Amino acid sequence: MSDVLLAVENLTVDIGGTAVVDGVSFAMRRGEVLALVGESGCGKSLTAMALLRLLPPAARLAAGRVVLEGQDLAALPERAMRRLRGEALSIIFQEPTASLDPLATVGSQIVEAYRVHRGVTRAEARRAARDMLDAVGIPDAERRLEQYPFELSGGMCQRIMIAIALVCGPSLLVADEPTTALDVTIQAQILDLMRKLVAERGASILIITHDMGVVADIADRVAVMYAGRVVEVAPVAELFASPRHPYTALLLASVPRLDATPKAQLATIEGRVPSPDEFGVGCRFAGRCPLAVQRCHEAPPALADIGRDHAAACWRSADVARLMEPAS
Amino acid sequence: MSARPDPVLVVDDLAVHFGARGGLLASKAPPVRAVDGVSFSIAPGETLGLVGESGCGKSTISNAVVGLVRPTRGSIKVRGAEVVGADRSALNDIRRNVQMIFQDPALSLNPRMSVGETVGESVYVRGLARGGALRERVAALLTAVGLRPEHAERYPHQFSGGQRQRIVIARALALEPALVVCDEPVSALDVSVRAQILNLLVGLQERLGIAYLFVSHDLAVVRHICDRVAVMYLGKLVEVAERETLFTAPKHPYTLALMSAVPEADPVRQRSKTRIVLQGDLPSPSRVPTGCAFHTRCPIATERCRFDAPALTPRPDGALVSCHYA
Repeated sequence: MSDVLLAVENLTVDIGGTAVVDGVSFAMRRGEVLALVGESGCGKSLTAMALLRLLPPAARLAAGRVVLEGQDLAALPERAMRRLRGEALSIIFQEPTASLDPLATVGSQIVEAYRVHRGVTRAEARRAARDMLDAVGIPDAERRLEQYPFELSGGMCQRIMIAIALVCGPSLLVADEPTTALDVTIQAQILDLMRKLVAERGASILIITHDMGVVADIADRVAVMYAGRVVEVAPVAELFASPRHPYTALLLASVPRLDATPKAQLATIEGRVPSPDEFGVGCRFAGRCPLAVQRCHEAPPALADIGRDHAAACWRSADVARLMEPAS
Repeated sequence: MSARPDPVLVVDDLAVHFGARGGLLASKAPPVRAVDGVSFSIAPGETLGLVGESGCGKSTISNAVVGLVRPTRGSIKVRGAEVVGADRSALNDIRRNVQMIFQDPALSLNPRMSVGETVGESVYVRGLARGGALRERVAALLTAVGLRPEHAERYPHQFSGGQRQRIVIARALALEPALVVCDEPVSALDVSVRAQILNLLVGLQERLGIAYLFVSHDLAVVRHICDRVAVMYLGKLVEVAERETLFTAPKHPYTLALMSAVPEADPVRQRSKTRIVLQGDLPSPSRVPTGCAFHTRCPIATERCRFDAPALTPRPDGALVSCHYA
C-alpha cells in the first residue's frame, strides 16, 4: 500500500526490565493527522521518542519495527538516522522556549537546520528561512531572523520551532503536546497553522496530547493509550460518538462539556493508573474497569478490528455503549 | 437588594501595580499594571469564575484577596472586614473566613509534615481543638474530601496528585471558611482525576454552602462549576455575567474570541463552530495599550477605541460589558 506513510509494529520500550511501551502498533497514511492520546505516564511521549530514536538513556527499544516510507528506522545505523531527522521526520516539543538555543538568533537556527541537510550556501539557506517565517505567519521576517528567542513570545517561539521542523519539507511531523504551554487564543493560531501546513505541504502529523479538545479539533484518527498499550484506534468522529473501550468512554465522559448540565456529576475513573510493577498479566485497565470480568484479569485482550477502521483491545467492547448512558 | 444576604467578598476598584517603587530605588521601567480598577462581589454559596489568559491578572486578584499581595489602591472586604492594609492580627482573623487552594498540590504541601499535621495545623495554632478532639476533627475533614482517617499518619509523597489536591482542600476547609479561593485547582491534574476533584468541590459547596472564587483558563470547567463568570483581559474586567447569559450570549469581542479559541471535546461541534482567530500576541502588562486595552487585537476596533477606554456598563440581560460596540 503506497498511501501508508508510517507503520509502527509491535513497538516495545523497556525501562529497567518493564515494558513501559508494550507492543504498540499503528499506521499513518500520507497527509493524515493521527492523535496519540492518554494521561500522564501512559507511554505516549516515549512512543514518539522511540520513533525518532531519541529515547532517554534509561530506556531501550526492546522490540518492534518503525517503517517510514519503506525504511525500517529501528534497524538504521545512527548516522543514517541522524540524516533522516529533520529531513524526513521532525519533532516539535511542548516548551518552545526550552527547545530553542538561547544564544543563537532564530535565523541562524533555521539556517543551520537547512544547511546541514541541503548543503546549500548561507544566502540560499537564509532565503529559505525567510520564506519559512512567512509560511508560519511571522510578519517582518527580515527583522525577526536577527532576534534571539528571549525577544519573542511563547507563541512566536513555537512558530519558529515549526519553521525549523518544516524547513526541509519532512513527510512526518511529530508534535509532542505542541500547544500545552500556550494560551488558548495562541493555541488556536498554532492549530490553524498546523492544519494549513498539512494541507499545503502534504505532511502528516503525529500529535501527542492529553487534551480531548485539541484532538477533536485537529485529528483525523485517534489512538488511545493506557499504561503502555494502545487500547483503541478509530476515526475521530467515531471515537467520540461511539467509543468501544471502557477507558476511552470514561475519559470522554469525565471531560466537562459546553453542552452538558452544569454542576452535574462527572464520570470518574476509580483508583489510579497502575505503576509498572502492578501491571499484572491481564488487561491493564481491568483493576479500574466497571465492566471487568474474571477473564480481563487473566488474559490481555489484543487490539482487534471491531468495525471499519476501528479497533479496540477489550474483551467486552460490545458492552461499552452502556457506559456512555448518562449517569443517574 | 435588601433581601439578598450580605456578600462574602466585595472587591472595589482594586489595583495592583508591580515595580512602581518610588524614592532611591525608583525604577525607570513603567510599572506592571497587573490589576487595574477591578470591582466585583461574591454572595454566600456562590461560585464566581475568573477567566483569562496568562498575565491577565487573575492570579494577582486571588493572591490579593487572601492578603498575599499588597494592592496599590482599592478595597477588598471579606465578610465586611478590610483586607487591604490589615495588620497581622486582623489578617489572622480574616483568614478564618478565606482560604486558598493552589494549582500544584505537590508544591503547596510541606513534604516533612504528615497529612494530619498539615490538615490540623490551623485548628491547633488557633487553639480550637487539641488532642483527641483535634484528631477527630482531622479525621472528619479527611473523610469529607474522600480520604480515610488513617491517611493522617502518612506524608504527601505517599499520595497521587489527585489525593494531594484532596489534602490541600481538607486543609482549606479546616477553619470552615465562608470563601475558598481556587487558583487553577485542576489544571495540573490528569483528565480523569480532574473530574473527581470537580465533583468534590461541587459536593462540598452543596453541603457546606461555601463560596468559591474560581480562577481558571478552562472555559468548559468554568461553565461546569461557576454560577457567574468574570472575563479579564490585561488587568481589567471586560465582561461579567451569569453563567447562562455569558455562554449563550457572550458580548465582548474578547469573550467571543476566547470562546471560539477553546477547543471543544466534540469533533462535530468543534468543526462546525465559527472561529475568531485573534491576530497577534497578548501585549505585555507593562505596556498596556491606550484606550481599550484589547483594541490592538480586536476585530471590530475603531479609531475611538485607541484613546477612549470603555467602562463596564450593564446590558438589558444583566451582563456587564466594557465595549463601545458590543
